[in-house]
Amino acid sequence: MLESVISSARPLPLLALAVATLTSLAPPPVAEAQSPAADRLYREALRIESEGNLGGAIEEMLLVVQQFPDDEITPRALLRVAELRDASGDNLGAARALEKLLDGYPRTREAAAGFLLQGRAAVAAARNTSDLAEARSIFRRIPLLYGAESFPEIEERSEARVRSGEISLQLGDPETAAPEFLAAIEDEAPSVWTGRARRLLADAWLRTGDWSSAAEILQTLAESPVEGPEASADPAERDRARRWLTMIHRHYIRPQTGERRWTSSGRFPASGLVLREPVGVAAADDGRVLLVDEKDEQAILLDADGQVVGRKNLDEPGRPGWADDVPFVAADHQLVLPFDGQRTQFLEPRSQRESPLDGMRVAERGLFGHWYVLAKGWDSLLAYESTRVGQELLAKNRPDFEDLALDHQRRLLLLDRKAGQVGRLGHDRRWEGAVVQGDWRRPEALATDLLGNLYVLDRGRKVLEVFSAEGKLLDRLGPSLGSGIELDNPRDVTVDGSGRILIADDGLPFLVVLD
Amino acid sequence: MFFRFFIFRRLLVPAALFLLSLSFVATAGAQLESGIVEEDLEEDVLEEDLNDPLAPDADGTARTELDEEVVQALFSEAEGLLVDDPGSAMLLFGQLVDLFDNHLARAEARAFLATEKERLAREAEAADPTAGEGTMPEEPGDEEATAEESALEEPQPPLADPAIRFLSPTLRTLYTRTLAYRAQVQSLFGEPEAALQGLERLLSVDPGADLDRDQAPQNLLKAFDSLRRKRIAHVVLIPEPPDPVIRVQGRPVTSFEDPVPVLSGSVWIETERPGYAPWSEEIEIRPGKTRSVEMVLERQSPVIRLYTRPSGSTVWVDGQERGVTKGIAPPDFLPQTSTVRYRSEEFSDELVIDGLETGLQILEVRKEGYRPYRVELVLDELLDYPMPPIVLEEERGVLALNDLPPDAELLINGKPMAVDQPGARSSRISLPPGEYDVQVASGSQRMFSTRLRLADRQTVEINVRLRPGLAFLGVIGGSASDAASLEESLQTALSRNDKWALLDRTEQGPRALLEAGATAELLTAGALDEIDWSRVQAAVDRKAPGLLYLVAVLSDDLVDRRKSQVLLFPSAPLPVPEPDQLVIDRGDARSLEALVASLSPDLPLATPWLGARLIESRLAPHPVVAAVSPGSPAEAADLRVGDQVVALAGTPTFAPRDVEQRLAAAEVGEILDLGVQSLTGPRTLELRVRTSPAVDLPRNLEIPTAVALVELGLLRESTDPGRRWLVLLQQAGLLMQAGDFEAAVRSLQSIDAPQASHGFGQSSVDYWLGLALSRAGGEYLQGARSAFERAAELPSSRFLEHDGPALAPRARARLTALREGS
Repeated sequence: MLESVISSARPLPLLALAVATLTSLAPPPVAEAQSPAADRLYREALRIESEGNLGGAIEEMLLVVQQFPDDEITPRALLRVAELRDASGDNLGAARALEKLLDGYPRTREAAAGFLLQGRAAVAAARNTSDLAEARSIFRRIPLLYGAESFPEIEERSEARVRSGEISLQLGDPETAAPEFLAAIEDEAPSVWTGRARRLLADAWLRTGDWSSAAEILQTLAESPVEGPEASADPAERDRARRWLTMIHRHYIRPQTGERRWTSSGRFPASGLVLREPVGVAAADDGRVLLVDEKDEQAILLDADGQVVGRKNLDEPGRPGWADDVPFVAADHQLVLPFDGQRTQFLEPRSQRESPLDGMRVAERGLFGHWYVLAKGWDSLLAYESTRVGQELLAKNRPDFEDLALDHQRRLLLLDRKAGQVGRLGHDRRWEGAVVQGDWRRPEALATDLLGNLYVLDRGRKVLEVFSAEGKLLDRLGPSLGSGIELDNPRDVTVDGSGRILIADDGLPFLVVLD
Repeated sequence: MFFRFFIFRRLLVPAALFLLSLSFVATAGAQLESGIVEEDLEEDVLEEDLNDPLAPDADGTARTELDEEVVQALFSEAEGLLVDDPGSAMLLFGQLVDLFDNHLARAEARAFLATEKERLAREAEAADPTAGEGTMPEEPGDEEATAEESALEEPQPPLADPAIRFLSPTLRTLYTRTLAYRAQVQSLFGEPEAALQGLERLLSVDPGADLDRDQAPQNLLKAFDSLRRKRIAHVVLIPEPPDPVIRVQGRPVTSFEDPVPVLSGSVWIETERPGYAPWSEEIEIRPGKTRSVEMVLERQSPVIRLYTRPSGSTVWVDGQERGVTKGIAPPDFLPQTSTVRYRSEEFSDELVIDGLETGLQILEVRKEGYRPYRVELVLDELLDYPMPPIVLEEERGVLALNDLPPDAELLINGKPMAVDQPGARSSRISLPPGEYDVQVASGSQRMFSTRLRLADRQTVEINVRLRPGLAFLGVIGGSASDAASLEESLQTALSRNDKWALLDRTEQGPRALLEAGATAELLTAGALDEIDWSRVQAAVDRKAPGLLYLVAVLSDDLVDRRKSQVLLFPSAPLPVPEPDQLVIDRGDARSLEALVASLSPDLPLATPWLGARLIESRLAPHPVVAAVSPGSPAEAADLRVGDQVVALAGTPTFAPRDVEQRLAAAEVGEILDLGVQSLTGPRTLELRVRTSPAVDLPRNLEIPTAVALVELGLLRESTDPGRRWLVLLQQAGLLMQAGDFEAAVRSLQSIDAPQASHGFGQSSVDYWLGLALSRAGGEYLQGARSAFERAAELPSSRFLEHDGPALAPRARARLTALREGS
């Protein structure tokens, strides 16, 4: 069994990312205990925690639990112990604290928060769809056990509904997801979860084809208050809603009026940056762009307006990508986070030695935190677990595999040049067959958007073909794109959150943008 | 000095002994002395009594009073025993005599002590003006002795028995008759000497007394007549003028046509009459003799005689208070001329004012609550001037209540009041001057309340504007000063609101809350869930009625001590699972303004209707039309999917909200220019403004649930039938928010909404019904499914308004949730 190697002293950030996000430690609310002594102890624990001494804070919290088992603050202390242990990697200790909380104080809001913590941990640990379903069942318990009659207006219920619905979406069941989001919006008190629920409900309705209802709820989200209880503490949700509305405009309204989805083409950035040999491009949902210039052996990060915000030299850079908002580049024998200083190596399969995998060209991060890697040196598709316990060889001796992408359910799509198709790998890592069959001369790159549309770049014909999630050809763009832009040797394609297409063409000193 | 000391001791000691002896006397007749209840004769009590001999008893009665009724009863009992049981009669008469004598001795002692105390106080004040009153010098100085002596040397009117003045005429009669009967039975039992002593006493008390000549033993009569011959003389009184008040030996003489019997010896005669100088003379008269005395009084001043209605009026002459009329007029008083309509007992007894100067005098009669009487009198001569009866008119003001509904209940200072002409545009009520709390209630919901001051001859006109009643139940918790300050701030702020009739229930409110279990402890601790609010609601409905209740709580829970909680809950039958809780900052006027504003909600049942779904897109600078509703103003204006709305009524529009805001400012029926950018180029459309029926999600109302529920109750009465379903629908939403799902279901099931194939109508009602039934759970779930299925049937149906969210996908999602749940 091979393990990936951490090249820096810090923990592998990409792999730890999901866990860190899910268990991000917000400061706990300061509450007044019934007993002044318990109150003092609890506050002292918070003070110690604020100094970064998590162990000391846990000890103090446990003192509260031991000495004041009947105080109202005790379940809060227990919950905090679980949170702190979880954050410091003591999963077993966290579980023990949670068990004590759920057994000893089951009818408290903290118990609901404990279930949430349990659910989040289950999501982070999930390795397959069954695990996810199990995590969803934990979230679903919360509205059942902590109903509005006894626990009015608790945010835990909203979060549980949203997370439960989110899992249903990931499992490809938007119809089951929609009621959860709707309940979070209509039945629960406004909170930061309301905005997220709106966006996810729109997502669910888009997947069931009800773009009009999706547009309505996205517009509500876009106009949601900046202040007040529903002011999604996350302004990114409003921006995201605006991008999705643009997507709806592009893909549903424009076709109704006979207008093309992309009506303009241009250079990106408009000015100031001259590329020598752009071969790779990847856009984040918010429009940031990571491009790779092979000649300069550089990774360049641009903001949504095309301004350069970062530039890094890399050896043998491959395809760039984004994983949870973090840009990365597959660079031969390592995965590089160019703007974070992190590098990750994966080991060769079935090697008795710890030899780094080489020829890595493309990587994508799957739903369960694992990595799909396309290694030219091995002509294979490999899957690496996030926990680095091992890898799975998904396909071997397939030099014709050109590119990877994830669809809107984060299932893996694979561009097979020889077969002239895009195949899909299910969450259970079983091949689900071809999604798109094309007549391409030299399919080079694959991209997807949030509606599930597929974009296949044919280097041979110098065209970009756009397919619906069902494989229907929606549009063909190129070689001539208007505005005097002609594709020469297109190498990579990407689509941002508003449906804007960016093409890297090593024959052009700029990126091509279609909007 | 020695003399003064002697006098003091001589009287003080017997008085004290007497008071001590009362414990024995009182055994039989404690109840006889209404003022003498000597429960504890400890030294300090005794001292206290002696220091303040005229102080009232604990029950407030004067000490010198004997209970006439009881004495009369005892006397009658004794009199009844005279024939059958003369022994007991003698005993009883003896006790009665003792009682009288003790009473008289005690009264005399007290009067003496009072005089002494007053005198000593005067002396102390003269010696040291700063000294307190009532301090008794330990060693009286020579000057004091001199003053004492001079005081004793002042001429005192001799009396036959000076103490007798402490008895009322009735008691005096009873006393003399008691003395006579006791002498009679003493004689019967062979005690002639004692009997004779009694007769001596009898004559000293009443020189004109006689025995019962039919019953008294002859020997006693003989002895009595003999005694009279030895003791009694007569004076014939001849006064000029003929109607003065005459006293012989201090006793008033009621009739002086016949000779007046007196004890022989020195006889002091005095007379006085208003307007005349007093006259007195001491004559010597021997037993058995009759002497005439002429009394010619010298006129000194004019006299005014008057009666007033009412009694108790103060009379002023030339700016000086000259007396207060008292009592009631004698039976022979007859009201005259303009006062004849009053009964004689409504007038006072005669007040005689003398000591006046001749000439022009201004007579004023005043009494609070009455208009003053004023007259100029010319008192030319030294005569009596009887005034015609003076009637003071009551002060009155008029309260004119405009637009008082005929069925209204009028309460003035909490008492029901009838109006003369119910239903008249202006109802007038005559009232004495003063402050009035005027409340009008019509039906169970509308009230009017005001506080006003009415002056004499003033007409205060009030336009009765019936408004829902906001009952302010007071402030609970906090310090007295904080509570008072908050109460005042709230009263001031709430009275400025235009929506509610503010009902001051601060007196009844806290008691009603307490009785219903909403204790200050629970309220201030924020333990609202431990209170049975329906019980509270019932209690305040009964004791401090209003339509909406507001109670402020200075809560222990709030970290910031400047903050206070305001709880709001409606009257029955609206539900009150828990009151709305608002937090106000006592130091911030805006906080109170916000509270007042929240009490005046705007619950529109219509909203501007465009009929197009607009979205923002980065591909277009203006809002993009994503859908157009059939039959809508947008469709009528030929707005199409894909169009960009560039401007509305000349206002550029860059977001859907710009269009909504401009539309909201337009009038219904107005035609607005709608500038659009189509694929084919720019166009200008004509958009005729129309409205859509509308309700809102309860949480978006941004007003307290209690206020909204009450407001909807009022709207339900006033809204036209075509829109009443909206009121019911909104009400149901609020009931659901308040957790009363069954009431919400009842409300929703009673709705008859338009069956619109698209837009807002019955489908929305079905959706809300589905929600209410699913929340009610259990047996209602099947009903919820049916309701959601109906709501999901029409793909173009909308929620909340014609431009509202699409209903069908929501209903489908709810159905899925029900399936998942099952």
